[in-house]
Amino acid sequence: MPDIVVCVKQTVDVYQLKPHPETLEPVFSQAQSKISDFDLNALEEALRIREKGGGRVSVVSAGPSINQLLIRETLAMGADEAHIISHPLLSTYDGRVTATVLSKLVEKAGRWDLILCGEASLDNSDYQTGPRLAEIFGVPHLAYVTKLEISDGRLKAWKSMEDGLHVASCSMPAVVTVGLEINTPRLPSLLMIRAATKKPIHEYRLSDLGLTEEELNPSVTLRELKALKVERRRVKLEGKPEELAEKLADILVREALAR
Amino acid sequence: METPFRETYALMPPGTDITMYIVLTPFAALFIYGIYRRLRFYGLETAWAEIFRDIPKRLSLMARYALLQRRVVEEKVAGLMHVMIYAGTIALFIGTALVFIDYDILRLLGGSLLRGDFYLVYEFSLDLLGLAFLAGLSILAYRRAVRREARLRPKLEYLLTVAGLLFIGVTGYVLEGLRLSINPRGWGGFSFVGYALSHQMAAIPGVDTRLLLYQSLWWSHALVAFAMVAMIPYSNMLHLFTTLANTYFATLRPATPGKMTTPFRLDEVDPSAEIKLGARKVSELSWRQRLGLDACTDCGRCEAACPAYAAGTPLSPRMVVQKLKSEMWSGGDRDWFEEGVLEEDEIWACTTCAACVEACPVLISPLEYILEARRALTLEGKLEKRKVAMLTNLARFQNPYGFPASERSSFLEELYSMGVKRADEVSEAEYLYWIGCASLYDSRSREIVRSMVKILMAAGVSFTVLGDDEICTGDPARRIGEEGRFQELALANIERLKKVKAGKILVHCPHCFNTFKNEYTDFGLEMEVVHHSQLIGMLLREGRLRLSRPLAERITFHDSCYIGRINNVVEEPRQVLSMASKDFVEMARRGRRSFCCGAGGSTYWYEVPRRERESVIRLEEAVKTGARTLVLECPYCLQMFNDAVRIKGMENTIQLRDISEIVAECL
Ligand code: SF4
Ligand code: SF4
Repeated sequence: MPDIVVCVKQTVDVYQLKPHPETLEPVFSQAQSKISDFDLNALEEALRIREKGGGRVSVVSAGPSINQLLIRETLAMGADEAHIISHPLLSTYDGRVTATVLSKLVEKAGRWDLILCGEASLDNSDYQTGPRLAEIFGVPHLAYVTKLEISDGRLKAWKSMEDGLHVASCSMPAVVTVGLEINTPRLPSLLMIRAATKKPIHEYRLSDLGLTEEELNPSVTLRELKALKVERRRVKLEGKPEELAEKLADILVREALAR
Repeated sequence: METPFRETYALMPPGTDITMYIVLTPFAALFIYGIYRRLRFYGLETAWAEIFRDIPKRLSLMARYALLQRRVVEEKVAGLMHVMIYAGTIALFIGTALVFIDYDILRLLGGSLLRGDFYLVYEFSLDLLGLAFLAGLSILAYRRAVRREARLRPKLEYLLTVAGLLFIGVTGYVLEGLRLSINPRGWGGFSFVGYALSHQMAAIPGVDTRLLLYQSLWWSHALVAFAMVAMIPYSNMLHLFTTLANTYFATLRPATPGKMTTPFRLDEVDPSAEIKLGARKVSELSWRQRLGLDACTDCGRCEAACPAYAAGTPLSPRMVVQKLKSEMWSGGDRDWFEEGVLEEDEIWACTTCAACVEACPVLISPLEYILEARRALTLEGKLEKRKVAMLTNLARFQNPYGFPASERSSFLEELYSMGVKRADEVSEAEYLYWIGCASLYDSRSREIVRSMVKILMAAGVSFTVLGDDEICTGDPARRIGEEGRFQELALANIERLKKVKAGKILVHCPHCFNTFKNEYTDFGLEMEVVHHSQLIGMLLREGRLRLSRPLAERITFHDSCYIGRINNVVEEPRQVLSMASKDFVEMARRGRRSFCCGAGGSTYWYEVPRRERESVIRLEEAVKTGARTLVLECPYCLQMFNDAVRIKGMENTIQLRDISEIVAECL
């Protein structure tokens, strides 16, 4: 019966981001926020483990202003409780700050055997949180996991790497980071979301976690964020299929050489 | 001539009557126990008060569909077969009952019924209907053994039933023949079949042999008849009773298959209350739904009508009902999906087209069970990606496509520049034109709106639109089983609609139409709902619209399920099209018997494994008419057939147009 903590991040829905036509900076005001996709996979995996072997699933989340409604969705999916902190300073952060704050929330969640995280976040894609948490707690870390099994208190993970599939195992406690392939997260129905108001969301202040504002200063700062401008060439080829294929091949070769 | 009379037990040894009743007892007990057990399965005992409500209407349903078998006879061969067996069975039953009255009651009182002319009529009618009975059984055997109709499932139980019935019918005549050969009577000719047989029987040498034969056949006839009766509650023969009950209680179903039940009201339930929705176990069905399972005769008509079955998906509505029926009969209460009673894809393949509901002769709605199962599956939330995506889109963007509202602003601007006014800009209008998500976001479907605006303006109809206030009606959420999300959208829409100063809603999307007309009423919206095909029809009839340039080319028309079959709007579009083209031809399946394009019931939003597409099957039917244009009345049909045309490479063979586009062109 492993007790599991799942780290979830609220991010802006990057698919809705449009660049400002002149500055090319993303217009955040138009986009809604959501739980980072990979984190939902992590939560789904935790819930499936609990369905098989029992245990408790807690969700932790930190950010500049956590939307309780989104946290409620994770509870509606089946998490038992949530531990969250909102602090304005968390609007600028780096992997170190995030992992530090999350580790404090994990401690608040109580005893745990497994921490599950998305391998990266939808917005920043830093791939930092999981490994750093493992480092802080001094436990093994399995990354890029596409299939996870637990037997006799040990984890067995299938990791899809560039050179093929790695199968690794380790003891618990441990940190596991997962990607989109591992499962399809369940969708809580509206009734479930409403019913989840009964489940506890514990909200903390910085001091509750034993942290100071200095500790939230990131070591890495973001200088500039701009959209890549992509334009189609709008070249139209005409002719018979054979000729077209030839023309297309020519263009591709020319382009490749030009690079 | 001596007065004719019925000779009961005539050639049997004395005491046969007593023996027979002793032998009958265990069979009767088995029958009674079986019926009792069935009633326990339905849980009818909890619903007995329901029996006495609404009696005249229910009796009339029962009379029409069960006793007179209105739908059974819609099919010629199957209908004739059933009516003959049905009439024969009833005649044999009444015949036997009269013998009982005559011998076991009246005789003891010193009277008699089966004598004189009445007896002669009795004998003649029984012989005649007995022939009908055998003829019906022969058609049955022909359909199963020779024609081997795909929708008739072979099953040992059915074989035994037919064998039993045949045995009873044939031995009845043989007994009659033997009796008349041993004991000729002057009135024997009235039992004309038995009489004819008696000459053959006379060829059997020795009266004693014939007597022995008679007595043993008599017992075997009786034993088989008893066994058949005893088996009624344990076999498909139970439909004798369950179809009566199911048609009687059919008023408890929603009035149209386009209306789903409202199991709770989002604005009334306690937010934190846990609500159970749908069914994934027999015990989670209502007693009426369990009774419905038992009324299924396995006739397969629903399957033959089902587009999802024709497309080779895992779904057959008949099998859904039959599998749930067996599950109920097994007496267990397993989870359908965990225990493999049903496959999830079976449930997801349904387009909610209601062809099965329309086809079922005994008023079962296979669709109802499918929708219950969907609600249970969706409540659990373990859906595959595309369903999750659609529902997430509805939650976040209030449209199933997942486009932000900004995506439609240029189109709305275009409408405003055509002179269309928003509801908050006008003091009053006759119609609120509800555009629907398909036409707000899909470029092809926007053409329908452009044509409609042209038509409305040409006819001088006052109308307005909601503009940015329009969000999805919630139909895809409801049909996929996400009742909460549906109600959230519905309640938001109704609040806005109530503020609009227009008496009627005009829609061109059949799904929006159905939702407004049949489902929003549960949430307090009372507005007249008009489909664009109806409005155009009315404008033409009233002369407010004139088609100055009718088309010369051949056109045909595909009824959308939610307008034609489900909401019974069949005539108006046809009137319009016969005015719009001099060469309007029909496909074989049309009107209420139309064949779904494959997009309904949310199936537009996800994929189910299949051999073929419904839209392709239907497109081929349309092409067969020789029409150059297939006219549609639904934006989703339009998109489905668009795909079908591309898949078949038929861009040059047939064009797809909405009815409004045709009319706008003829103006
Ligand atoms: S509603 Fe249509 S698709 Fe669904 S089972 Fe019935 S006939 Fe088949
Ligand atoms: S549900 Fe109705 S149509 Fe379908 S097999 Fe049963 S009785 Fe026949």
